[in-house]
Amino acid sequence: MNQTWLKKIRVATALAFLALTTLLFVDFERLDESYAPAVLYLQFVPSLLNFTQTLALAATGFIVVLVVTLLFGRVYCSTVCPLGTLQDIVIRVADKVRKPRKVKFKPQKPYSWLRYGVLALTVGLFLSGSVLALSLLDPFSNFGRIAGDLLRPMYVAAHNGYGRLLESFGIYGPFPLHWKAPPLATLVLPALFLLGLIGLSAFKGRMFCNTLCPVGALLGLISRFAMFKIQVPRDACTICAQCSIHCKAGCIRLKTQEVDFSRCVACFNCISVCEARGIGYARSWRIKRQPSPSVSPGEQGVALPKPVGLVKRHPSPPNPHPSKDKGVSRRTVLRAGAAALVGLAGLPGSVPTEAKPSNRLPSKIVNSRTWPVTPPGAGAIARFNELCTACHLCVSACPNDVLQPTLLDYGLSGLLQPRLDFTTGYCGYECNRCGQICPTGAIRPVELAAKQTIQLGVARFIRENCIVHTDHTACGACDEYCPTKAVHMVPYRDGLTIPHVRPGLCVGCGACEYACPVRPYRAIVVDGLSVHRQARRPVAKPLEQEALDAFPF
Amino acid sequence: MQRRTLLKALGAGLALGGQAGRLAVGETAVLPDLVAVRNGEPDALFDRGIEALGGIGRFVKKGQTVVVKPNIGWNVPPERAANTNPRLVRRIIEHCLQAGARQVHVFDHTVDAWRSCYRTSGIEQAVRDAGGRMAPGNQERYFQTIAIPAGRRLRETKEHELILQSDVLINVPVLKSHGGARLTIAMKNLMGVVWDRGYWHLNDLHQCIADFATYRQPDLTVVDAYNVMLRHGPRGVSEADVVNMRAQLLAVDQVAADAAAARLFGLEDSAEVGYIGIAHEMGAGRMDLENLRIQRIAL
Repeated sequence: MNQTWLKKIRVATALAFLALTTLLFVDFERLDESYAPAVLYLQFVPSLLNFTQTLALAATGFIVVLVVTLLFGRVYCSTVCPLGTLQDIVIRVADKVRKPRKVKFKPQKPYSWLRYGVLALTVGLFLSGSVLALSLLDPFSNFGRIAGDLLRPMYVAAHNGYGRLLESFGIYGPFPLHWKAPPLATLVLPALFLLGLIGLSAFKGRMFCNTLCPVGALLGLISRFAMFKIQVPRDACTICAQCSIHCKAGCIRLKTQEVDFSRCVACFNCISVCEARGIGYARSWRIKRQPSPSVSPGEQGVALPKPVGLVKRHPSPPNPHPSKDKGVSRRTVLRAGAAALVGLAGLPGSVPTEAKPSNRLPSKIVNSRTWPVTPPGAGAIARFNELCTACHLCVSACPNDVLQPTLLDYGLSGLLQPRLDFTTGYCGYECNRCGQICPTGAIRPVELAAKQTIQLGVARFIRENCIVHTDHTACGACDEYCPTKAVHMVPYRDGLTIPHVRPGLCVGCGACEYACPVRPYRAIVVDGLSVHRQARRPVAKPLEQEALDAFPF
Repeated sequence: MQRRTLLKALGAGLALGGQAGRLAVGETAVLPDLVAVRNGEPDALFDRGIEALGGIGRFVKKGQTVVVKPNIGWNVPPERAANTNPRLVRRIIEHCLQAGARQVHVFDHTVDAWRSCYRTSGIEQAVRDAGGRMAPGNQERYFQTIAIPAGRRLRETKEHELILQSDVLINVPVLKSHGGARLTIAMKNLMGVVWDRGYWHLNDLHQCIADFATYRQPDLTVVDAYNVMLRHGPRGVSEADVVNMRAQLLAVDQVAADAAAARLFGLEDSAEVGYIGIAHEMGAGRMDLENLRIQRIAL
């Protein structure tokens, strides 16, 4: 049976997913905004999180992934998952760079205690209200941070360099992109993760996917029951070992001619290198001696002709290494994992009291904030913290550069989650993009009209800092920028006017704070609300409109 | 020095061109200083107005490069009238290209995030449809330092390279209220061709606007008064701040255009807007409408 075409399709699909996903993170506006949900539809963790919120059809991608996994195993891991494809690229590059070697990969231990321990910990922490483990380990979010936080500045530099080249010939080419530097500390974790991932994949193939990745572990569990599995047909196998030494997951054991399908990432390397054209997908329910658990009694009764290359062995049992020693050690580690789970669950979760003020300056009149300002659609800090896995797509997509990653502003549980940073921008009154594209639903989609009355925070005027007060000069930048005239100018003295805030009208967009020219501490700051409120919609008496019958000059 | 020579040559060329155009068409020898058109859509107003002012050929010659400077300062849709009407921008570009312009660029140093402004204002689309080209204006590297010899407070500033390089500058402001400057029209709109406008705000805004007006008179000024924001400017809060005035002013002298627009807005005296009075006094242009040839047109 010739299934070598599978790999070509797999590679093409993987590259398409990788390219589109990367593009969303490095140059969001290259694609139309409406494509984002389609591109990200199948991303497992975001889709699952979104579904728990909305039960929406648009969030059913994870169900598709589960069904496909139940049919063909972890196809997701080598096509849809951008982090998987990134690792494949690292593997390829590493192969080119180092000395050629015959044995590319060695069989790996299953580390089942680790992967299922990580899965249990991630699920347990999530159920206890913390996305910390999910944020740190979810492949999509990690890829997002690699592409959005680390790759994007380089892409922007290259893109703008190209633009400058064109401009030197007198052509205004593509519009320059902009990138406002986030707090540098927020780049450390993504950078460390990337370095670790590069090292791991260069030397151990897809080990991340079979140890630390919670999606890999979950899909691995499910693929044990897959209807079609990659199997080694004993009668055809010449034991040439090609499949095993090309297996990035190290899940083919030649000795027993077994494929541990729970660890197989469906890269189809084995199929394309098999000299005997033997290894490949075969139906897993045909095994007579011991039907696989997914077989219904009715199906068992159906007598089917034996196809050529029939797999005679029964698939790997749920516990492929039943040796006593390993069992004991696994139990020990599982116990340790459970202890860690309990310990981590005890961490302060996303209770709003954890959130720290994001701006403390050692001054008489500091720009202190009670809460960070969360994006429109987040609803409340607690809710946001429980759903955001810090993929930073909103940061990449924000046309106003106001969304920036934080380190610990929300506390440990909200590690790396974004907030509105009014030193880099302000929330566009005519924009509701972050909610439309947030893959997990942490930022809910809100209609523009509704978004325009969501109060994210309230502006607080600090008269003692205002240059109208200190320098006796006219200003009014905050009033000029304010979209609702929540900030407006009132008479001061000597004919000057000074800002005044009407909190009911304030949406907390931060335009006033961004525009305030006073340094180092601004004269108007927006304090976030732990639970968003409803602002009043500005109303004005209609102007008396008379037709222009003649020019007044 | 070189630029001044160039400008002088350009001015002479324009004058000659204007002469030739008039002779060719055989119009009356005297063109109006200001054309005021009302009761029409933005594109129709411009068609009629530019015809009265001698046709676009008076300003744009074959093979020239043109820069059109609308107000695109704010990330709001066209009906809010915080930005120049996109239909007017489109029509102007079409006229320029018909007159044989080699390239028509459009840009603004926006206040809100520039990509959003370009898009939401409808101007990016209008420019593309007309065959012009949007240029970026929100990075310092596009701006070059220039001297303003006649300036009192503003002696030098950084100006966008397109203004320096293009043969023709068409200023297309929108008339609207402004919290800081009372009104923003043509002279104030040119704050969008400079980089360091923070300096203007901190050093007598009205004087700086007038100072910059002494530096270079745009070749043509078209004031969009189709929709006019009467309060809460420059950004506005809602459409309730806007009246549908359906008017347009065209002039070579932007001070005259500003003076007429201020009256159109409802001011009794144009000099209520500080920079208009100062610019007139400094000789950057004329606000004495009673002494100007004004052609009033109703469609």
